[in-house]
Amino acid sequence: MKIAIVGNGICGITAARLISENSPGAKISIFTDEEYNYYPRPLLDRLLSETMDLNQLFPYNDEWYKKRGIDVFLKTRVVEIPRDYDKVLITTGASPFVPPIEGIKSEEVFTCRNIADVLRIRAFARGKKRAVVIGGGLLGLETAKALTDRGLKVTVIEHNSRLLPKQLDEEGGQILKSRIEKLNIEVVLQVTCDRIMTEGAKTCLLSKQIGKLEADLFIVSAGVRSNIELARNCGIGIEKGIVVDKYMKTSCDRIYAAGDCAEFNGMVYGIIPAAIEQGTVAASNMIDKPLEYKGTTFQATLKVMGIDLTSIGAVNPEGEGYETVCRKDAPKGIYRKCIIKDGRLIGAIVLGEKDGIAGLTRIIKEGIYVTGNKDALLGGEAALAEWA
Amino acid sequence: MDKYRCTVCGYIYDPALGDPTAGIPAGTAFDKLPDSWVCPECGAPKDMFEKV
Ligand SMILES: Cc1cc2nc3c(=O)[nH]c(=O)nc-3n(C[C@H](O)[C@H](O)[C@H](O)COP(=O)(O)OP(=O)(O)OC[C@H]3O[C@@H](n4cnc5c(N)ncnc54)[C@H](O)[C@@H]3O)c2cc1C
Ligand SMILES: [Fe+2]
Repeated sequence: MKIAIVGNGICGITAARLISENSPGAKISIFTDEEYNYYPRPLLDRLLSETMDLNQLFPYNDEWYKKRGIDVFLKTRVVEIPRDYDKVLITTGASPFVPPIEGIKSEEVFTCRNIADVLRIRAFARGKKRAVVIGGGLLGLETAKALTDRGLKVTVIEHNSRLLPKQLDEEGGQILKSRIEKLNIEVVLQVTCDRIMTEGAKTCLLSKQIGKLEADLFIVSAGVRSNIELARNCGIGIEKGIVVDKYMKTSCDRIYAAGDCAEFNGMVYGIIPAAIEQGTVAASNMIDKPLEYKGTTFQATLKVMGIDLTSIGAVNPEGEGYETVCRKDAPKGIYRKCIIKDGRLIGAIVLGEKDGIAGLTRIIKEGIYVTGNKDALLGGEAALAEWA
Repeated sequence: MDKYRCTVCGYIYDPALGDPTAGIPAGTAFDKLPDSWVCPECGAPKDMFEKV
């Protein structure tokens, strides 16, 4: 069997590995427009702060690919569905969303998604002093920290009323903000970027709320959009992402999609756990071992040294009928919250502590009824054993 | 005891530290982690770790 995979991110590489393990003799070709073999994107921060070298990023060597019958075609942008393959998997991922603002294409403005982006930022940032990160989500904060570690003075602007609007609530947001500020990162909330403007040798961000903010470089971290051009050009069904069914099949026979480029049940996840699970399901179905995808539990961990923060499931549910239990110790920077609906735990925030994250994740994923003393949900693994 | 690196996010499992997020005590070898254990940073399963 000949299989083509477009994209060598975590989703493509997971599928390739599983196909090679479970269908020996399969010929797998991976195409990527990047110049590099697979690397974990969460390590890009360390490449940016130069706490890790480029050559330390790649977990698999040539031998690894060869042993599994996987051919990788680097610097190869795919514009039509590759011919001569029995099945094709599209894992083209996502690209940073760049809001259409005047001046956003200035040479001082960057996004951060791949190695090439980071190397460009690194080269430009040498000897510079001030940076502004537009967007206070996970990636924005991690990028801000990496730039701070490089010695830049960084300001993060966020148009919402709190940091990590998706992963936190107002109270958690306040605690996180003070933790971030202690790292010498400035945070400005409820501020929009309306324009980037160059005046002589200076570049400024223009905002109706705070006026001018001058900096040497600007990083846009305003979310991502699925890469769907290939699917669109080939007449494959798309919405926000490439529409897939529970087998990760697209509207076209023999063509599958998974990861950040795929939309399942109206949802594009944009996180690694979903890319792994979807890649696993796609791989299995492509080798005729039927497997259904059941959706992924949202989970995100902030990877900023010294701040422990994990958010699981639905932490800002809308509507009524929710019960919450909280524990807060603002001076210590601790905040824990669990959200319960119809007797089941559906979401949790754990800030400033580590203990209990695995247990909470399991209780949410498995839909376990949390009867009894709900305050035990705010404890660690030992307390959570009650619902083991 | 050997350390293991997550090939998905770079997290390193150090037996000397264990994994407090999962109540794994310090001194637990990677092999002794339960099969249900996942990377505390990105959720990747155990088979996505490589020895460093
Ligand atoms: C800095 C950073 C840190 C992150 N940290 C985390 C984290 O800690 N936890 C988490 O859950 N998520 C994290 N994410 C998000 C995570 O990286 C994505 O969810 C994940 O990479 C999705 O995997 P994927 O394989 O679907 O797509 P991608 O990783 O985007 O891979 C797609 C690949 O396909 C290539 N491609 C696109 N179009 C074509 C084409 N036409 N032809 C050939 N190649 C093409 C792209 O260049 C890319 O290399 C992070 C993202 C970034 C940028
Ligand atoms: Fe990981």
